[in-house]
Order: sequence, then structure tokens, then C-alpha cells
Amino acid sequence: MDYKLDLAGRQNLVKSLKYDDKKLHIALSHKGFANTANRMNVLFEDQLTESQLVQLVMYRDLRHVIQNSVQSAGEKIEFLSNLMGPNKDFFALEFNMLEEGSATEIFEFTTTTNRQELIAKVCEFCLIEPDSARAIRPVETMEELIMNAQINAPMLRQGSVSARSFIKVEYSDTLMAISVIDYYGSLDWKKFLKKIENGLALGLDKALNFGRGGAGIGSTIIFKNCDSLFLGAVPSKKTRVSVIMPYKAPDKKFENIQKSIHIMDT
Amino acid sequence: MSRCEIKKVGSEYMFDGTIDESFATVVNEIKPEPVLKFNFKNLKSINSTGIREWIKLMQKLSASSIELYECPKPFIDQANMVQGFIPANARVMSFYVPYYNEDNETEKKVLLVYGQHYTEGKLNPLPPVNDDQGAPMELDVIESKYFKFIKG
Repeated sequence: MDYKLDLAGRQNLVKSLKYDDKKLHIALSHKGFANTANRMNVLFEDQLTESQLVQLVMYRDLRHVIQNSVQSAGEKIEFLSNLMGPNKDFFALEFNMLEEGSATEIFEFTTTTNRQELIAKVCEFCLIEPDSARAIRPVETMEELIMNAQINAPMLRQGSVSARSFIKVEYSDTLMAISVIDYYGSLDWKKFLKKIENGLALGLDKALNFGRGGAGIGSTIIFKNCDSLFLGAVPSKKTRVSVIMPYKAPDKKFENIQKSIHIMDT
Repeated sequence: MSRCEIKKVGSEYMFDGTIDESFATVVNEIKPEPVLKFNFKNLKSINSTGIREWIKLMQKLSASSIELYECPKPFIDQANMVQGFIPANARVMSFYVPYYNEDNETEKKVLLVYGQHYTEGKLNPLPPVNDDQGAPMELDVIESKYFKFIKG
């Protein structure tokens, strides 16, 4: 399946969508892209490599770079438009990543929760057989996201009293969203993306950290498995990392994904 | 406590569970020998810290000849993604390939064996696979990527 959408196609799509252009500014090429004040600036691109995408966000001060993919660009723009609406808080547990009507559940965990059992419960809710080949990507992603909240986040913010974290899962016929919300607020999105950049450029073996702390490749594993990646933190208060990926899909479905990245600044 | 149990059954070390940050606490179960046989039939997954711990173990066992049996997809995925995951002194002796039937949403894992289905650098034509009702099943991986570890 090919998700490419040329400039004319992107122009037509943007024209056909209803959104408040006083709140949302959509540019169709990174060449000459400039952020406009008081609006959510979105770059709607096509055929970016994974490295180009990461670098555009890291080095060009872009917060939302979207591409047409398994989740269509139209749905992505609609989501961002809704996010600009009143009383929408990306960091709130009740904030949904997928359209209304998707199955949704929230699971609480702490630093001592058995990760295996937690993931098994999530899989059961999502009607995914944990041992099936098609469960590998969501299970891998959950492993990394939960481990970040259980080990890395508390380590980075020592002395925090809150050990309660949450994993929220949503699924529809074709998509699955996994969000992990913790109350350490220690995520540094630039470092997260830098690790992805290293993993993509050097290969996972060379990006591996053999010293203390994390292995340094979890971010790349999360990114490799997703269609859209959302990174947000309120420093020292809360972190939310959300991913949207194809639901119960074979590897073939991931082959031509055109990824999107969103930085949810406060 | 580790999420991966290692037990020696006959001449094989059986790995059961998930290789993660706790893996270092159980690898001492493995005693270096000229030939080591590892069986991953019950391996569930390997996370990022598990990849690191696995590579450390391989470095520690660099003097042994290591045979890897019944490697599941999570293991093969890492072997294809992380250079050095299967070092020169190790060989995949058998591994699982998932097949799928979209109509009835059933999955089957087919075991390919070294010397029978593939050899060094060469994959023989894949056997046709049918589900329990006799309907043909499709390979559920991308051939050029999943078998990369054989072809190099």
C-alpha cells in the first residue's frame, strides 16, 4: 500500500478540510517554512525519510510534522484541529488519541508492577494474542514505554513522590493508540529524538549504551513501530508519550508507513 | 527476579520469558562449554535493555560455539535489526516463520531447520502452508527483511 500524496494532492486535501486557519497554520513544504505566531504550525510533507523527519523536528523548530499514512493526513489534521478546541488537554488521562467510538481502557501501574502481567492485561483488552506475530510491535512498544515510566523517569527525577503511572490503550478497526502517562515530567523530547537520530544513523548496535542507565535504543524501537509519535512533558509534573500504529497488522503494513511526529509543548 | 528463566534440560539451555534488564541476574546459570545449545521456543520478547544484556552474554561466551534452536520472531527481528546480535561463533539452527490466513484470522508458526530449509547464505523455496481446514496461508513477514540474517 502506497501512502504518497504529492503537492497537488496535499493542496486539494487541505482545501477540502474544515479547520480554523486562525488557529491552525498548515504548510505544505519544509522549504521556506516559517512558524507563524499564535497558531499551531503544522508541516504537511510527503516522502520524508525517517531521519529527515526527526531532523526537521529537532533542528528546524517544528512541532508538528505530518504525512499521509495508515492514519490518513485528513484524520491527522482533524485531530490537531480538535486539539486546539476548548478544554482539550493532551496530558489529561481522558484525552483520546483515536476517533470517538474506539475501544478505550486505562490501566494503572507503579514502579513495582509486573510488566508482563500488565502487558498481558492490555493485550487481552485489545483482543490481541500476546504470543502472535502481529502482537510483537505493540508488545515491544508497551515494554519500552512502561519501562521508561518505571525505571528511567523516576531515576531522572529523584525524590518524586508520585509512583502512579497509567497506560491508556485505544483501538479501532485499523488503528491502535498506546499512551503512557507518568507524573515525573522528566521527558526531554530533544534527547529522545537525538537517540532516535543516532539509532537510525549508526544502527542499533552502535547506538547501544553499554554503560549505566537505559540501553539508549528504546526510543528508536518505539519510533520504528509507530505511524505517529507524540511527545509531551510538563517539566517535573507529567509526561505523556503516545503512539498511533496499525492494529493487528502484518509487517507488510508497516513497510510504507510515512511517519509523523508531534511535540506537545506546554 | 528475572523475567527470563534459564533451565538446562539435557544438553540444551531452555529460555523462558522475556529478556530484559533483569537478564544479567540469570546468565550465570550458563556455564561456558565448547558447544552451547540454546532453545528459545518459550522466549516471549526482548526489550532494548535485553538486547544489551544479550550482546554482553555473547561477548562473554565468545570462546564457545553456540547453536540457537527454535528462535521465535522477536528473536529473529532483533537479529535482523542489530548487527552482532548473532555473532560469528553462533548459528541459528532452527527458527519460526509466521503464516496467516486473513479470512479466518488464524496464525501458524512453521519451523525452518538448518540443512533442510536453509544453509549458510541460502534459503530454499519456502514450503506451502495450509491451515487446519486446508486453506492456503500467506507468509506473514516481509521475505527480504525476515530472512536477511541467512542471506547476510
